[in-house]
This record gives sequence, structure tokens and C-alpha cells, in this order.
Amino acid sequence: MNRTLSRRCVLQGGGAAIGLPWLDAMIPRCARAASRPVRLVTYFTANGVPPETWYPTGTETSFELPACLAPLQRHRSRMIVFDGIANAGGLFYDCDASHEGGHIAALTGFPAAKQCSHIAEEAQGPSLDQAVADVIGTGSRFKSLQLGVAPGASLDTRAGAAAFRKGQLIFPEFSPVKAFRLLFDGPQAGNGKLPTQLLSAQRKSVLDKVMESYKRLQGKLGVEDKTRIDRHLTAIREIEKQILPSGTASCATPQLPGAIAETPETIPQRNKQQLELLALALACDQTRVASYMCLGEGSSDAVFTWLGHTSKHHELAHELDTARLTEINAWFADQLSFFLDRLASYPEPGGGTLLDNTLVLWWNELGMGDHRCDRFPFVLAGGAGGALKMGRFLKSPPRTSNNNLLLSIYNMTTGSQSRSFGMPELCTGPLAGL
Amino acid sequence: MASAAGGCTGTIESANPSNGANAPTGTVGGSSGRSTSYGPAADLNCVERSQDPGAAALRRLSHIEYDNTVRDLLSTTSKPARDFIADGISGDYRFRNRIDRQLVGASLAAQYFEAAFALATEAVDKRIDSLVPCPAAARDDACASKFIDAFGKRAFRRPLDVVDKSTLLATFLDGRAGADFKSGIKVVIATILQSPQFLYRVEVDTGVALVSPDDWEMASRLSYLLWQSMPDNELFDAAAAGKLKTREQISLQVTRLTADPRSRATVATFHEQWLGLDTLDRLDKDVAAFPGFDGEIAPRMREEARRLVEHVAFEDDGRPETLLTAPYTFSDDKLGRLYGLRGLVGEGFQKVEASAMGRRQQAGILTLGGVLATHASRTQTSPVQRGKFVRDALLCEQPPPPPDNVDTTLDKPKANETTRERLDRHSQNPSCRGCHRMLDPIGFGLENFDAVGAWRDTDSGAVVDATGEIFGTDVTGAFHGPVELAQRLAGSQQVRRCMAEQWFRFAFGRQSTDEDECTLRELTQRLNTGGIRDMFRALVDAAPFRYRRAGKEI
Repeated sequence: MNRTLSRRCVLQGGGAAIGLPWLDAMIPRCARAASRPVRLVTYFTANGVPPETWYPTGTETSFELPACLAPLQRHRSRMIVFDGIANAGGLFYDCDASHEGGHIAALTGFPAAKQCSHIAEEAQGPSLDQAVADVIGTGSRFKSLQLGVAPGASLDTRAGAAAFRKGQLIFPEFSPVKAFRLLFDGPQAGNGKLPTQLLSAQRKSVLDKVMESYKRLQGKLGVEDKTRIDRHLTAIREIEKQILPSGTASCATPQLPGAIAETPETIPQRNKQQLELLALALACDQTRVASYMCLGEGSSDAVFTWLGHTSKHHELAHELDTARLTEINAWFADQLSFFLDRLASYPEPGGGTLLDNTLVLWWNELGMGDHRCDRFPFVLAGGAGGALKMGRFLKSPPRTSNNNLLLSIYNMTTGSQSRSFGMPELCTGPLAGL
Repeated sequence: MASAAGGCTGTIESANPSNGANAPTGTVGGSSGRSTSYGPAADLNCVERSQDPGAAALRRLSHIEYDNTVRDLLSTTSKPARDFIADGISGDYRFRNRIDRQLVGASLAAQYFEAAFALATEAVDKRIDSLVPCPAAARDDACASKFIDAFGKRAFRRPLDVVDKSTLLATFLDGRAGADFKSGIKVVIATILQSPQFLYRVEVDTGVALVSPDDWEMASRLSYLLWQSMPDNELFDAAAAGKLKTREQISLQVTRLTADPRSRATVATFHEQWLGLDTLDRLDKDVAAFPGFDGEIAPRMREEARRLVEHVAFEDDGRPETLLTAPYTFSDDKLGRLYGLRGLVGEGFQKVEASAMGRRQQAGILTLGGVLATHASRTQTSPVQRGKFVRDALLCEQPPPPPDNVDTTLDKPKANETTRERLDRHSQNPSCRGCHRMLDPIGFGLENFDAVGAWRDTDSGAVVDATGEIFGTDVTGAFHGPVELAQRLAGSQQVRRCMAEQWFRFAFGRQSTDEDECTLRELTQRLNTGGIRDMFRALVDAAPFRYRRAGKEI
């Protein structure tokens, strides 16, 4: 990971002809290349998978990708497909997971606070991405970033949560236009009248005064109010980094993406816009940890009309309609493949591509559409900075805890040597064989 | 009575709450899990009992309040909070103002930041002359100081203290340095709009166990309850003169505030959130099956609801039962075509009486297109969702979610099978029957309305059977069709008490608890006698409005 500084660190934003002309203008340039850690992205899709067309057969290194994963063929050498891992938190109460219970447990490693809970607010710990962001996220403008696509303009129900902290849901930005503004046209953008330096000094002054006023108020409040004000103050500290020039990297301001009607039919187009933006945000070092929600839990009741379907994904999953579920998961794989292509198109300072230094964890809230979660369809993709041997089909003993996998990823991306992740009783150590 | 929360494993009469490993518990009534019995414990003496107002809690401006407040503070027409990350609703709490869910994360903090700069820039660029109290030639430090006093008082809704004042002056000087006066003012406004005194309704503990809010706090309590916005000059003047203390003084202001159109908008907001209509614009319906439900219908359904509610509350008798049974609605030509209404004249919305509705039956809020379409699926009606809406919004019961091990997807409809026939399978499955008996038969009464709220006489070729039944309430019994269902609900004390509970939540940002029992009884009583238009006055008279308990350890 020892990198030399590159004076000409020009990243090419174009390349993929996908009918999104606004992206051609997105040519980020690095102001200064600092050493960058492995970037972590979690990629969520819902409703479990049809096992017969998802899990490969064969050996660890000699295996074929079945129909669901076939669109990832060109990335096969940089993937690990897992089998045998269970959503241990979802199984904890000896009842099969609900969508919500599985959603909470899969990346936090904790079962929901209450038995068979339907309340995602009862997350008992941070999801993997948030735990990792606490360690490696502080160097970039956004400590972590959440994007996604929804059938409509947004999903403010708990089904849309992309990440968790104890008792807290973190929602993604679903609108490409708003995501763009946040990333490239946000608080840092000048108004063209004042020199940028002066403007950012003013903004810093405002934030300082605002933070002072929150601190002054804290002492006058009762316990619960004080906690809420503390959180608000923490949030302001987090945006402070976004507002002030980071000094590590900047992006040329690309053009606003074309607005697309936020209707269920346009999910595919908006999904590509969002995945493009996410790749660009990583390339520009706007963030090092990101969560992507390709539709919410239960697929947000979406109907995959672009695949010729007329029933909701959720309903097809319950009916275990293997043929259609295979089409849906192959589409999810195709979208992921597109995202990996985008990562591969950005050179990294010091050689290689962004994909080489990124690890993507594809996760789900359920194992199968009938709410089973003892066999969970995790997939890893990307180069992971060379830290993992890729191109493998890794079979673990049945019902191996997902916490072991989470722990391995946590240690690898943060350089830690933790012994447990999530609920300690559900974690026996790093995943064997990884 | 037996609660509806008996898990989904038994019948309701033999409800045995959550004894099985798979029996999730629902909450019923208030957050304390108080039983749904509408007749409060007979021995509670609300005359002698000291009224507990609940703990003081810092309330953040809701997004609607934010937009209204910047409108009144800065004379702007922009509504930045429309794009803020939404405050979610949770469980059976239907309003977007729940205090313990008003957390500010990085996204919202960034949006507050952006909005503050955008609003400040707009105000300074376009309205500097009306904003600052001095002519262009005299825009010096003294002018800035005067501006900070006057503007700061309105924005913080009380006079600035010494530290506030000096901090803002320092902000002004920082902002002016290297730039100009306007730039300094802009930075002051941007700071104020992110300060806790602006974003929150700060009521600081005085260390006394039970206190009345001071005059400034009372001014804000009044304006935000009745207008969802900041106090106007008259309220500020009354606060400055110490004239918001007695019952009479406050009553005078209530009279004045309710005469303003802003209080009608508040009534509309209450009903919109209560009935779940604020997400109507995002409704997704099968275009092929319902060509009449195009992008222009949802806003019209919101308008229909707003007009119906306002008419019942202010023009008609204002009684809660009229809200449920009114035999009229409001429609324009476009919406009328979806509903099959006749005799609409000209453009725009107008009142439509039952006589002009053909076969369509009308019963107040129950038959609002928005309510019916929201509580239905993309392609079909959903007696389950409609039944749950009645339990949840009108009876204040929250049925537990389905057990985790139950497949909640209905079988594919068989040829010529009606929705009712499909759902009847619920009553054959013992693990579903307990709860669905509480839900489905209520929804069956609304089966004459299709998934977008239009009237239908047949379902899958068969004549719609709109007979239904309500269990486990004070109006238990069979009924036929929407009008009889509405009449039953209109006769229910439980419904009246639930309406009072909903107003309580809307007004105070939390569910009621056992400590609020007397308040809730009083509100129910006032709703019965004075109707909807007396609710503001009843809420202003309530203990949680008049007092607060210290939240800090003292």
C-alpha cells in the first residue's frame, strides 16, 4: 500500500457508452494522492435467492457460476462466492427471520433487540460498514456514504435503511440529482462572487459559532434532551469535513445528471446513474465506505416490469418461482458487474485500478424467499488491495455464523486484530479458509 | 376487554398474550400498553388529581414548521424542507413530529446548512432594505447590532441573552471581514438558522418540578400548535408585556389565532397525516388496470380530503361523527370522472351531494379516494389494509404483525375468485384467524371501492358482497356497506377517544401515557361537546400545554 505521489493523477470518467451523456463531463482529478486504504462497499438486494441457480457446484477453484451469477463471469477471478454461512442473528431466537429481523442482523451481527422483532430501530450495534467507517472513514469528506434506488422518489420506511447503528437507521439518498448535489454541488460549492478561500473561511466561522451555541445549550438540558443535542452536534462535526476543503482530493465539478421521472419503470436507468455516482465518489476519495441499496428490504414491493414480470419480487420469492427469481438475481448481478466495470475504469494513484483496492460485499436480508436464513448468499467482489485470495467458491460447514465473515472483513479493511464482531456468542473467530 | 394484541394464534376472545415463542406482541393504545378500554378506570378522580403534564422535552421544528417559520421570518416563498430527509412515522404513531424520533444525523445537518446559506443569500440579495433597520448610507456596526437584536428576537422567539448577542456580533464581523456589510448580515442569518434556539423550541428548565412556560415560551406554544409557525408581532408584543399568563389572556389569543387561515391549514395537516395521505403522491398503481389513475389524480385526492375536512370542521357542524358520515364530498371534473360523479359544472372543485353520485356511497373520511387508494395494493383492493387502517387510525389499536413463520402472500387468485373469497381462507387457517377476524370483516364493508377508490358493483364478475362485521369494540356487530360501517364507528366512544388521542399526539409530539388519563378524558369530552373546532382550545387548556415538568435531575 505504499504509494508514490502522481502529479498527473487524471482519472478518466468517460468510457462506458451507456446513454448517460452527463457523465462524460465527470473527469475527476486528484489534487494530491494520499495513501488510500481498501475501500469497502456493501451492496444490498432483497428477498433471498433461488439456491439451485445461485450456488455453484464444483471445488474451491474449479467451479462454474450458475445462472444467477453468470453476468459476473468477467469478474470471476475477483470474486468469492460463499456457501454454508447463516444469518446467525436472524436464527438466534430459533425462528426464521422476518425481512426486518434478517435486515438488522445480517451486517450488525446482532439479533434484533426483541424476539422475532419487526422493528429495525432495535439494531443493537453498528453494521459492518459503520464499524469500518469509524476506523478508515475519517480521512475522506464523507465518513460513509449511502446511496440507493427506490421505486419512487424515496423510501423513508425502515425497509430502506442502508446501514445501522445502535437504535438508529441510516437511510440512503435515492435521488441521483440530490446525490449529485450532495457530492459535487454541495455546501462546498461557491457562489462565484467571493474568492473560494474567503468563502470557506466564512463557512467555517458559521459552523464554529453554531457548534458553540449547541455546546452552550447542553448544560441547560435534561438527560434525554441533552443526548439529542449531542447527536446533533456530532452530526455538525461530521459535515464540517464536507464543507471545508479536505486537502486530499477534489473533483472537477461534473454536470448535473439528467432528471429521470421517479417511477417504478425507470428503476434500471436511475440505478445506473446512482452506481456511476457511487463509483465516482469513491474515485474522488469523497468517501471510503459506502452502502448501496438496490431497492429496499422485500425489494420495496417492486415489480420488475423491465424483465417482463407482472408480479412483485416479494410475491415471486414467496412462491419460490425459480425461473423469475433467477432472472431477477441475474439482473442484480448484472448491475453489480456494471459497477465493478466502473471501478475498474478509474486508475489508482500509484498504479492499478480502483477495483483493485475495493472490496464489495453483496448481502441480502434473507436466505430464501420463504424467509429461511440458515444458508445466506454472501458474495465478495473486487481486488481487496491484494489482501484476499479471490476467484474462489468457499464452502463452510453448514450454518457457519455470518459474524465470522464480518469479523474477517472488519479486520482486513481496518488492519485490526479484533477477536469478535457483533454478538460475541455468535462469533467464533475469523472465517476459516478465507 | 381482551386486547387485539393476543398474537395471531388464537381467537380474540381467548386471547392469551404472547405466550408462544412465535407470538409477537402488538401495542394497544398508548405507549404504555394501556388496554384499549375506552371507559377509563372508574375510580380515577380528575378533579382532585394533580395534573401531570409530562416531562419537558425539546421539540425540533417539524419540516412543515420549518418551512412556515422561514416564510414568516424572511418573507420567502421557497420551501427548503420539502427536500429534507423525511421524518419517518413509526408503528401506529401517524404524525411526523414524534419527539423521540426527531434525531438529526449528518444528512439533515448538511441540509440545514445548505438551506441556511441559500435562505440567507436570497434574503440579503433581494430584501436587504426591509431586513435591516437603517438606510443604505448608514449600514455600520451599530446598524448590525440593531439588526441582530430585532431579527434575533424573532428567530429565537425570545430576546437574545448577552452571550447570544456577542456571538452573533462576532459572526457579523467575521463575515464582513474582507467582504462587505451584506456579507456580514448573510453570515449572521446563516448562523441563526442553524442554531438550536431556532431549530428547536428551547424551554430551559428552571429547576422547579412543575412550571408554567414563561410568556415567550407560551407565545411559541400557541403559534406552533395553531399555526405550525413562529409567533406573529402581536404574540411577541403580548409576551413582552407579560400578557400570556392568565387563562383569559391566553384565551384571547386563541380566539385571534383561530380566525387566521393558518389555523385551518393546521387542521388540514392534522387530518392529512392522521389519514396517511401525505404520501399519496408516491402511490403506485397498475396503469393498465386503472387508466383513470394518472399522475394528476393523487394531488386531487389530497385536495378532496382537505376540502372535506375543512368543510366538516368549519362550515358543517364540526362534529366527529359528521367527519365519519358526511354524505357529500368535493371534486373537480377530472376526479369526478374517476368516481363516476354527475352534474359537475365548470372548472375547479365543488361540493358534490350524494344525489349526484349515482351508485357511489359516501361516508365522510372513510370513502375519501385517497384513503381507499392508499389502503389497497397496486392491482387489487386490500380489505386487510383497510381493516387495519380502521383499527389503527380510528380505534387506536395496533394489531401485531403477522408471525414470522407465516407466509403472508396470498395464493394466486383463481379464475373468477373475488378478493373476499381469497381472504376467506384466512378464517380457515388457525394461525391467521385470530387477527384477521379483527381486520378483514371491516375491510369487506368497503369492497365496493376498487384499488384506486372508484366505485364498483362487481368483483371478478360476481356482485360485490359488502357485508361486514366489527368485533371487540363498543360497537360490535354486523353491517352492510360503507355507510353502515361509518354509522357504527360514529356511534363509538372508543373512536371518539381515539380521535382525541390522535390530536394529543399531533399537539404534544408523543403518545399519551397513563399519567395523561385525565387530559385524554377531558379532550374526549370536549370533542363530544364542542366538536373539532373546539380542539385547539381544548388542547390549549390541557395540562401538557399549560405546564411542564422539569426533565433535568433536580
